[in-house]
Amino acid sequence: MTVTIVVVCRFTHQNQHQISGLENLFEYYKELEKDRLSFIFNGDVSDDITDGIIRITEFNVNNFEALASLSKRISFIMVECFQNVVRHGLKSEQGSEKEKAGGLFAARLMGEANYVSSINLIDLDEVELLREKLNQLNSIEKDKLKALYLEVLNNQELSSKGGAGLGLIQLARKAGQPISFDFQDISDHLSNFYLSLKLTSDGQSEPGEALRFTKSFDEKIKNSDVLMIYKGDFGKDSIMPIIQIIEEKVKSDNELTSSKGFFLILVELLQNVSRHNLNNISKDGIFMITEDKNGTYWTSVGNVVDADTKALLINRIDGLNAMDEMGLKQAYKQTLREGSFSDKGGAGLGLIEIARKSSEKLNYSFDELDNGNYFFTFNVKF
Amino acid sequence: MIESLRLAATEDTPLVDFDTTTGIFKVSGRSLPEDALVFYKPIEDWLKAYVEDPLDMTTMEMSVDYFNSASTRYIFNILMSLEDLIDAGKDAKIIWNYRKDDDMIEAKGEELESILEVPFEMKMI
Repeated sequence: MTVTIVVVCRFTHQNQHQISGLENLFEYYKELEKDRLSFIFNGDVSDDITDGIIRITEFNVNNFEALASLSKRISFIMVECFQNVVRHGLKSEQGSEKEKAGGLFAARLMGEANYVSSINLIDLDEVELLREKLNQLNSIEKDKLKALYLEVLNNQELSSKGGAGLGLIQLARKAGQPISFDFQDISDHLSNFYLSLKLTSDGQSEPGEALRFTKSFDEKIKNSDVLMIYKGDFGKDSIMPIIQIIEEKVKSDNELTSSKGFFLILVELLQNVSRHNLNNISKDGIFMITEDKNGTYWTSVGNVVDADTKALLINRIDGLNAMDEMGLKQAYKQTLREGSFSDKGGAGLGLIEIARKSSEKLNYSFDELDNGNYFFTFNVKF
Repeated sequence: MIESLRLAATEDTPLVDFDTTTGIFKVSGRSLPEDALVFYKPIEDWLKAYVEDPLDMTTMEMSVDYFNSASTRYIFNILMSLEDLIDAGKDAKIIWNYRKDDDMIEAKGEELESILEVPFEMKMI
């Protein structure tokens, strides 16, 4: 049984342009290019994904010698910071506030300097108490923090949010440096609470330095359509925890079929980056999920490819875009039944799957880099 | 007769239970390995040996929750080995289990049914 495959013609590159209004992945890539790992989570976060965050960090930290001595501390600080957002992130009241619910959590490991930061909404009433608490923590000598910790631990007056102030004390203890923080009132009863820590191998940093570094970028992300950005290794050990995080998120928000479809696109896209990567050892890439003004989800992935791969990708994606639903189905069946294994292990089925699941034609772009390679952005609407 | 093949499920690979005492072969769970070859090659090798000396009746019960494209071809090849059994004059069938609200896995089953020449039962669970 043979199926005639649709003849692939080179399509005009009308899809090669960035969709207006969609967040531009390349812009974020340039900003985060030097990061060994960037993980930014914007919006509604919950404790369910803490485990995934620990796994991503531990893998990345443990595989980088310069960070090994910091490993335990970084994981700890990330989790405390993250849970701080979870516990204290106020949900903005429906309709009355434009701000996104929840907060922002960002971790950026650069090797020499590593930043963990968060933004969350708090009641304006809490600002002064929190400021006082943080100033107090920052002024206390390190060896006295433990005594304070034990004192608060034995005190029955736990905070109603479950944090008991212990989280902040622990942060101060582990960070071994002043906590950078700031507040910015955004309405007559809400304030943004900025928190930032910088960790270096020698433990040195200037007070406030972390905040200066992260604040404008964090704010930019918080006000964007971005729900999540991950930049770093795309190998299996990094990707599985991310898939786990997103699966938790998507499952709780949607009905089964649509969450599975989204999940499928995601896995294919992430594994596609891992397969088609210039650098076979580090498999570096970036990916983000955005929700545009109409409530539509976009998944964008990007990585650096050479000119040959660029030509191959254009050819294949345009080919798929030229097919209708039936054509894609036939191509899928034919590839399954007769196609030979691709040396990259993907068998070409991955792209066809993405094209079939995507609600629109595949959108992509290439940006030329200084070294003659290209940054490949692939946007899939779901 | 070759010994039964049993592989426990992991985070990204399914449970495989090919029981040569009953002829009931099961694959269940999710299959997302990035390098599908590493996981599926031993299974293919096992099936190749089984097809040489099979039972009279083989039932493949598929209860997959999710599989990535890298796994698709291998799953397809596993199902194709049942065609070999039929060609050799033995009985074989595939039972494709899917959850009532899982349109995606249902559609996958229908698609596989249309390209495989093996008795194929779609079963809602």
